[in-house]
Amino acid sequence: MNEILLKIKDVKKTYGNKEALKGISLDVHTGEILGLLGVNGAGKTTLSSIIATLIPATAGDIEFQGSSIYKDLVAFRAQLGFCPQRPNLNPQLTLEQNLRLSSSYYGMTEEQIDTRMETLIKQFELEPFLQQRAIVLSGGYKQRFMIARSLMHSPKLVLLDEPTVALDPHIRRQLWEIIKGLKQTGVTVILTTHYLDEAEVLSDRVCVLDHGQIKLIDTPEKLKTDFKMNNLEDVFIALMQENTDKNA
Amino acid sequence: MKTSYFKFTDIFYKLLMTKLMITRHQIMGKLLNVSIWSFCTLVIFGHVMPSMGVPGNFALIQFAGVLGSAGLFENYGNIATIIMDIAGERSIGYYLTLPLRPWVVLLSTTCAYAAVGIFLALAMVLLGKIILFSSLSLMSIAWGKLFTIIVLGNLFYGLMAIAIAGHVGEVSKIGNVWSRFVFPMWFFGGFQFSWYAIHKASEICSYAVLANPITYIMEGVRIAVLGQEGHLPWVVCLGALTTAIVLCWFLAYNRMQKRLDFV
Repeated sequence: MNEILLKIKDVKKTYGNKEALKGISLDVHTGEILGLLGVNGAGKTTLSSIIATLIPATAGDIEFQGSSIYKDLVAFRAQLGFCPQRPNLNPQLTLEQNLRLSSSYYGMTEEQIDTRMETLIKQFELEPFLQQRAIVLSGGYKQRFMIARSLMHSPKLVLLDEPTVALDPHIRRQLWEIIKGLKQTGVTVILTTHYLDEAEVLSDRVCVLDHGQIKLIDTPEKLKTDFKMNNLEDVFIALMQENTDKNA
Repeated sequence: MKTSYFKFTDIFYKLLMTKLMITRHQIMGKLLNVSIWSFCTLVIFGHVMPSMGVPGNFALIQFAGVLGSAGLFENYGNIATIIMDIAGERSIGYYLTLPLRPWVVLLSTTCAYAAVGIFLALAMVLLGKIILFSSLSLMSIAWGKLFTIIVLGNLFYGLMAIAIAGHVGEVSKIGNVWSRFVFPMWFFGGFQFSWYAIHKASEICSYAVLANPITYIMEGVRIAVLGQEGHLPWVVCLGALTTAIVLCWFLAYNRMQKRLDFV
């Protein structure tokens, strides 16, 4: 396994009396796709928001390449690409403007932006839409642009928060290919999803969250073998059933 | 090593330009909205009310009020924009993941709002001249003072919009904000009267309105347009407004931090 890129150490998050995360510890390795799974309210989005530095952890720490991200948040953010659940491209600007401006915030030169844009436009097949405004795009293409935007500055770590939610099945499959392609470019991906088929196809390892805690973390293959199931969905259902039985 | 704060100036500038590029598409609509309101106000007070015995120069007081208010109306609309963004697409969330500190996002947003307000206010000078014509002498305006007070006033309005948006949190409550907060603040802020006018009517009221930053914006604009006589001292207006801007900055930052829970 590759070296550790991100080390999450006993991260907790509370909202008033509610504990959304109850001490999460996990390592993310360079170049892997880690799937974060869980039912609604499990803590997936809270955890990805903490990693994206959108919200602070109540306790615990996150280390990126060996040092706490909170020591220099700005430097960490420069290495991070975040694709939120809801597309938030600027609807008044063209998609090219969206991509160009987002790159400029990372201090990229015009030359660097041109080169990077050319690569991503080809990779994600965005050429026909560049001069259009975000508002006219379908959900699938909005997500492609969102992923492209998060990659413009060549981040080491990309967070995809439910990138295929509410999309048609064939559009989801197209996005899967794009996400698989990210792995080939060496980018480390944390993929939050509640589609188990998606996690199974895309993830090197999956981390199942439940009520703000990690239930298990392993490769999809190992989980299927351990639970003697044919697919991740059955593993997940068995795991949830186990919990229900324990709580009963 | 911590990232240099100097680096933020570049990102700040780019964020500001982005926000202005976005606003560029809406600027004609905004200009039309403010022009309609200003046109109605100035025509009524400049050409209709004098026939009812209202002194003709009252139109100039109203003109100053219009210049001081243009940014307020513009920024009232921004409150809803911020609240809807937070409740919906959360584009602010994207900016908060950029390699910068949250204050850079808030400052660039404030400056973009202020820039639009300044543009609208200055455009109303031209409209005022067309409507009031010979009653308004552009040569007698203290342009340096006018520009200074309009810049400060609109920075205050921009911050006020962010602070209110962070405090209110729901679009459905926007109407309450206008009725219970913005309107009384604006109306008692001297849109139609000088501070000395209210002082003559009620000393207690006049001291109470000194706590209202809009008072200093209106007084400052009137000093620039009509001269110092009969108004609060210019340095008092500048000092009080600058203090209000600093306080409102901390309030806006605090409110948004509570609302967004940013790092």
